[in-house]
Amino acid sequence: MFSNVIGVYGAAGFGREVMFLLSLNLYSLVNAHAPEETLLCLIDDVPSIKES
Amino acid sequence: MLSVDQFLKLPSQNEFFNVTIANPEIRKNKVSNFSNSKVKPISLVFNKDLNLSNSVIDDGAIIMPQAIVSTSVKIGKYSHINFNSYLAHDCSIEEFVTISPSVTCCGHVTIRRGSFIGAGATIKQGTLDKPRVVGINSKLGAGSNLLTDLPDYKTFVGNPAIEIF
Repeated sequence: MFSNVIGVYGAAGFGREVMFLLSLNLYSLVNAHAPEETLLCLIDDVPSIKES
Repeated sequence: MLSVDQFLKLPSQNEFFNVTIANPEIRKNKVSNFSNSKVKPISLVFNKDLNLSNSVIDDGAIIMPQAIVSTSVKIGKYSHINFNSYLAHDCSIEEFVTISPSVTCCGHVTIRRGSFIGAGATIKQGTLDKPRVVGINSKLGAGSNLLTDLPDYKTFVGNPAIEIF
């Protein structure tokens, strides 16, 4: 079980940019939320995107 | 990659989300998927060095690298400020606004909720008494130069920007 989970919705384009930057900047962005115990998730409900 | 349902079932003490869909209407709809859960919105501000004093950034907002947020700027919930955009002093960005890359908002500009500003657009400054206003759910085309107010639910393009629909 992780202390924190951060979900980013939208995997078609901009969400992937945000997720990449989030992974690089996790410590400065969520240092109040224990970054070493944080899980990042990309979320999408569009089938063609979700299966790609 | 997870579906919303799978994400909401993850075991965790603290859960946060953000929605990165550029279209304001779709973004609003997706945010509602999370509204009845314990998941909280998180704002993502990259490169905080370029955000100046006395600004307010609400939950769920995204400010990308090289975006400059000047002093006394307010950015509402779930708004996006994309790469290389500049928000000058006293701008007010309401909720669910999308600012595309390389947009320039000169001082005292108010962008009402749900509006979309295309890449490279410039919005002329307003004044303390009369801010320049981009209306609710309106659109400004890419590369446009807005010299007037933009009414609610309208689309303006060009230099100077004028109504097309």
